[in-house]
Amino acid sequence: MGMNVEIQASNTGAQVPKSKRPRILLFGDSHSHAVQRAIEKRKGKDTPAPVAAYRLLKEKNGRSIGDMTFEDFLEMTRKLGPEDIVLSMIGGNQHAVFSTVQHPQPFDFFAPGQVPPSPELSAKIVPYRALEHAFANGLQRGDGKSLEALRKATVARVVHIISPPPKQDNAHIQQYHETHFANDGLASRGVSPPALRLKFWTLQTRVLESICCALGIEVMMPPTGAVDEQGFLRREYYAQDATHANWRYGERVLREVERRFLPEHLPTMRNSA
Amino acid sequence: MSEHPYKSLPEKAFWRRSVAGVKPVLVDPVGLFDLRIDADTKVATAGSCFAQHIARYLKKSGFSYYVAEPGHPILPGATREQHNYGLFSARYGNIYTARQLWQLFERAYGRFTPTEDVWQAGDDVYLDPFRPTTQPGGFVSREELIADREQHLAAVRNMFETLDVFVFTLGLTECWRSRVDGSVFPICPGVEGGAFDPDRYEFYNQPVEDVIGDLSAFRAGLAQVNPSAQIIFTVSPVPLVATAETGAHVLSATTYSKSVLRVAAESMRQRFENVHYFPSYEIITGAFNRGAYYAPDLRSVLEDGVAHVMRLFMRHATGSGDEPATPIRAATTEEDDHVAAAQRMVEVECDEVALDRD
Repeated sequence: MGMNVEIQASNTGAQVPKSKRPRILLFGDSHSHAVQRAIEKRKGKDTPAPVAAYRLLKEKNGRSIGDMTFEDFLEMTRKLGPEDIVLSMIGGNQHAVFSTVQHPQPFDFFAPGQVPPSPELSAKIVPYRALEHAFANGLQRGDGKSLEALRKATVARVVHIISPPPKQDNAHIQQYHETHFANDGLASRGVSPPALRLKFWTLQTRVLESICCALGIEVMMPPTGAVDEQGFLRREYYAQDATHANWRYGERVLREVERRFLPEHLPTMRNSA
Repeated sequence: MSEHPYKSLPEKAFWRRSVAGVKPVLVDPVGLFDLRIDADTKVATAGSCFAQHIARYLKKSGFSYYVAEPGHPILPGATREQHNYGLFSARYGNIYTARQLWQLFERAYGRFTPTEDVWQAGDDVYLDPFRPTTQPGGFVSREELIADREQHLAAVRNMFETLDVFVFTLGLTECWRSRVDGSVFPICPGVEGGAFDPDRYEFYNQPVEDVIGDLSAFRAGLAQVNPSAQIIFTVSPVPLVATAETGAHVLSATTYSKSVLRVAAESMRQRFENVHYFPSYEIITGAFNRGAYYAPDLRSVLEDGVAHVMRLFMRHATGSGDEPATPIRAATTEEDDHVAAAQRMVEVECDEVALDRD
């Protein structure tokens, strides 16, 4: 089951008429897990969460992961009104595919409008716009289609939450690889330079912003407090793997959702966080 | 009956027997062509847009089409293709003139550095004046452009030093060059980038002696870095899209340009043992096919024509390619859906077309 924790006036004691409070549904892939964990934590503290969060249901190695099919979620969103909000955490890890494990032919790229660090001198330079094309193609065929379906399914506001930025700590990623991918040879390849990971994440974000803009979908960046001065995910928000954030990050997302979409309800919604 | 030299000549020396009296698809105008390639021969290509056809056929023929700058494998194949990796053996884009080829060679070896190095077309759009359409959308910064150019020229050096056969399709004699240092551009500044300035650029229509001079210099340079390299020259049958020659008609200017190139190619073949000529131009433009190898725009070469060229190329260079030819259609000036579908043009992007854009 999804973390279907919705705000009820009776839970919070708020005197706001229910009809004025938007319903907020969240759906995503693996990155939505952080939010679901945060909702669980809130439940443990009897603190309401502003969203009902669902993770894509899929079969992997004979077991089910997630709690709702995309089609079922679309059906749910059809019942929402224009005052309601659908949050997407669909996809978001394509950048990691390109940039987490060191490629056998090391490469780097220049990003537009970015002050150096310049690309690694020993690496092959790949033109930015070629990478952008590859990302745009991949995203438009994949997540772009899902976002489009979402936009078409509902009259509610649709907001796509950009995935957490990469982690700067190579040792953290390497340790995870050695634990989980030693047999695949991934560990021996090493980890890409952190700057490359950050540039790929930024590239992906730009492409997604463009796709969302064309679809009439708003974009929400990762919570600023979870991001360090250089743009990486702060260490305290690392999940124990190479690319995901933890429940504390999910809590940051929940707070940002409350701040952004339910500002008038904030005082009554949080009693402990 | 007296004896005379024509009595002992082969059939291909006679117009009636080898042109007028032969089915168009069977016309084979190849004269002396003794170069042989096999599956291991590294064949590199460059030239005008017609050279793209040669590259395309080599790629799918199972022969060793040599790509020295294939693009990084992190890029999907479709992206690399759309970003002009593999279009030619290195990502130099169309090389229309002999001067452009020679200057590319000199640039690759650091002996010529044009003063005009970057064209800025927007906040984060930078074009390489010597291959302005090669990177779709341009480069995002001057630094990226220069880094990519360094890689590109390194790939060009590697290509020249390791190829076995270099196929170069001569396209044009007309070009624009810098008044500052004589560097020539593949397309007139201001058309696909840059800004035209008559004080900076001048029109230059290469006379035959200049073409021969450039090709000879290139051949000598190539022989220095790769003594066993063989060269095949062809002449593009694609007419000029426009002429900048004062007072000239584009048809006459085309005839002049192609004549110069054809003479230069023949002169090179006669002078140098490692230079060969393949008559792509004659196969497409020959009256025997009654214009059937051109699309209704009388410029674009249809797939049937390319297939004829490449069939003969394979036959003479490899001993293969004797499968039945695609029948030639009658020339027509009408367009209909069927013909449009049947005459599907090859997906070749010619920079030149930009000259005639609405």
